Amino acid sequence: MPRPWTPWVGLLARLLLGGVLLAAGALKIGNLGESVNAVRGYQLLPWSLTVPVGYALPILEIVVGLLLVVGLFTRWAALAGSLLMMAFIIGIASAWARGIAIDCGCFGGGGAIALEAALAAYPWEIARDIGLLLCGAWLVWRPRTPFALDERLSPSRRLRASTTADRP
Amino acid sequence: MSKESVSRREALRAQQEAQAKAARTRKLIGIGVGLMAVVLAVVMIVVGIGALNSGKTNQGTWYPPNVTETKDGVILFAGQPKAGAPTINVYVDFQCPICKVSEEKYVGALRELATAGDIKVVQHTLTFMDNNLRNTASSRAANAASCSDAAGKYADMTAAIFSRQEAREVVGSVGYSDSLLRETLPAQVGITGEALTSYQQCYDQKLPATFHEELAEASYNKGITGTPTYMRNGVRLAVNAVGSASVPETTVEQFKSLVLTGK
Repeated sequence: MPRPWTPWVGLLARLLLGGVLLAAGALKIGNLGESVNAVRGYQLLPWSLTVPVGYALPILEIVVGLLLVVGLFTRWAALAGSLLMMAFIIGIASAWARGIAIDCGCFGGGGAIALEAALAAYPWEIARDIGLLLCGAWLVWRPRTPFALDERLSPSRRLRASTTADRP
Repeated sequence: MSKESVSRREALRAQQEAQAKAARTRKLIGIGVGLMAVVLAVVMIVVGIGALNSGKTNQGTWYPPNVTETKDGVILFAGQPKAGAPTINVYVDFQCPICKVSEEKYVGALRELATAGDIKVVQHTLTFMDNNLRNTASSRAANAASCSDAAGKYADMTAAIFSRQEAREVVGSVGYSDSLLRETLPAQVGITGEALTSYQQCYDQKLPATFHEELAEASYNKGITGTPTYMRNGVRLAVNAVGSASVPETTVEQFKSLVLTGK
């Protein structure tokens, strides 16, 4: 039986992960060429894949971010968001491990930067993405949250009972 | 109340619930299908772009006369490298500000050592800054440089282009103008008459475009992530044309030593 605060943790997780993804995608969608360069900076994918991935990432981030913010298909959107975060964590960690000095390109920009600046940023970027991954994991586990469109599609009595004051 | 009316009421409620559930399911399916259509459209666009990019045939690619054997760069100073002379690969983007500083600072040393046959210098003109600055100036400038090679002016043109670098990483700026690259600079480096006509044809038809794409892919596969990058026999040299508090500036003498010995 969920505790009364669990739906609110879910709401926070939804808005955090959704908000960050939405912002990241929105900042990149206007310059997809730069997004391709950012992907190339990681030196992970074959050249021919860098263009489709560079174009698709901001679009995917916006779609998943929007779904999470409005709370639609929360479990699936959170799963997609978690997979994105895992990919970003792997990408940044691998750049760090290989000694590649790049801007992560998370919110636009990207490409080579000074090594010291990159080394200073990597731990924080990874920590942030782990935090967001935890938000996603929580939502995959407990997708029912207040103020979600999911509720309109199939209202859950349990959530209503735990969030509205039904005191005797 | 009779037993019969109770069960009828229950049956009615069950029917209403079933209808409501069916409506919800239809709504869910509708949204799901709509969403999948959007995602599918996006994927198709992305795949289409990818196919367009990779579908180009590279048959009959135009290469500058002094292209390397690996077809991914141009020999900067024609000369006779001595046996065992190291190859120095220079990766530049004509819109990159540090590339300009770097070129102006070290090109004299490169020219001197290459002319003496102590090193072989290969320049690779990358164009990734077009993506960042949302213009085409890097590509057009690279075209101008590669086209000038046919007139034997590759090094002069490279220097001339860098000397006119103005738009310092201003997003959306034009950068090098067509008239500068097509008329002013060739006149400045002494491309005239028939050579000028074929230079301008080369520039107008963007003949080196495919060569530059191949070059960019080859550089990516060699792990070049930024410009300027100097490699000596495949090993990256720690060259800093612009120093900072923690990284000292590389002097011309240090640069010569790096290029000759790797240290």
